[in-house]
Amino acid sequence: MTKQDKDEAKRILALLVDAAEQEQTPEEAEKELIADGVNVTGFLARVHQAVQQKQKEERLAWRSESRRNADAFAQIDDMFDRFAAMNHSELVAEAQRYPDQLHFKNFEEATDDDLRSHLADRARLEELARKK
Amino acid sequence: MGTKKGASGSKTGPVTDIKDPKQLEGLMKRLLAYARRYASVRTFWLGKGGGLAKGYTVEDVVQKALVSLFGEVDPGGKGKTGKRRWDPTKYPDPWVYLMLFVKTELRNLSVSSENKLSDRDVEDDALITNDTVESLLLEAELDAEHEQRVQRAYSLLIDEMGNDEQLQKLHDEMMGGTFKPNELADRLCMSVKDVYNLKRRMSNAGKRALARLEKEIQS
Repeated sequence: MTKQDKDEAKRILALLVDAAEQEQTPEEAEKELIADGVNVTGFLARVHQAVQQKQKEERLAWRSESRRNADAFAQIDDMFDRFAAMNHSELVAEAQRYPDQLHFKNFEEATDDDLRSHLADRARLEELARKK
Repeated sequence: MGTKKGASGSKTGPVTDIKDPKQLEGLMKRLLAYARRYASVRTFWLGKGGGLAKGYTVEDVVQKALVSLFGEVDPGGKGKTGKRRWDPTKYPDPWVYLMLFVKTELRNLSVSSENKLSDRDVEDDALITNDTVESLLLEAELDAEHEQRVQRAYSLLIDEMGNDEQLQKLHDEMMGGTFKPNELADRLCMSVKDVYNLKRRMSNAGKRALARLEKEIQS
């Protein structure tokens, strides 16, 4: 095969690839499939069923993951005591170290126990992430 | 809503919303039609080796691609550990992702790829893109049988184009390396919309030619 032949072959390939990739509307595609003897209804039913099955699996997987996380979280010691001795300004200062993780609009207005609970949960989540 | 990249990568309209049942069903039909056409191109270029290995169908490949929009699928069904699913941040338009998935899977499951360990993932898009699709197919060694097949396909294409003068002009431009609709519109002195319609006729002619060739290969 000469170089010229190869170049011509590549141009034919490019033309046919471009033709194959021609955009279609769903109606045009369906018409083409039916003309080719494809059982479109059967295909759609099969894919819908597979998609639904996958969505079900994904939901179950999400629930299982969620349960696993909750169980793992429960197994980590409560860290409330770690913050028990802190006064309000110390708690606020500690909370302000994690503005992206603790979602108070105003730390100053939160009660000490709320701040301790949130700081304790954040510390537990950090421990959970470290163990994973 | 973003914009949809067309088959050739051009922006043409809104991105398909896969949560909309009607749009999803439209995507299913378009993908199956596309996959069948692309499979024909592979067979034309690679011969029987370009076809799917025993036990696989184009419908299976398309189904797997579509399911991967909603969750992980096992590529190739060969027990490969790396699973794949659509990543909307990487491919905002599901159509672009699905085309790449189908091309990759048709290659990985083809007769010529059997027993090869170098299966490529959809994520390997540096190698598999709309722009470099020919480069993958061109990996095949071009032997005398291949040359005959290409010439036969070309002859069938010319036959299918018949005496359609516009189509013949489009053919001349494309064989000269012009593929972009706006450039073709300039050269053919017609609107871009008319170029799309003309390309649609070319697509039909190409499809008919490849269908005839496939029949000849199988017989």
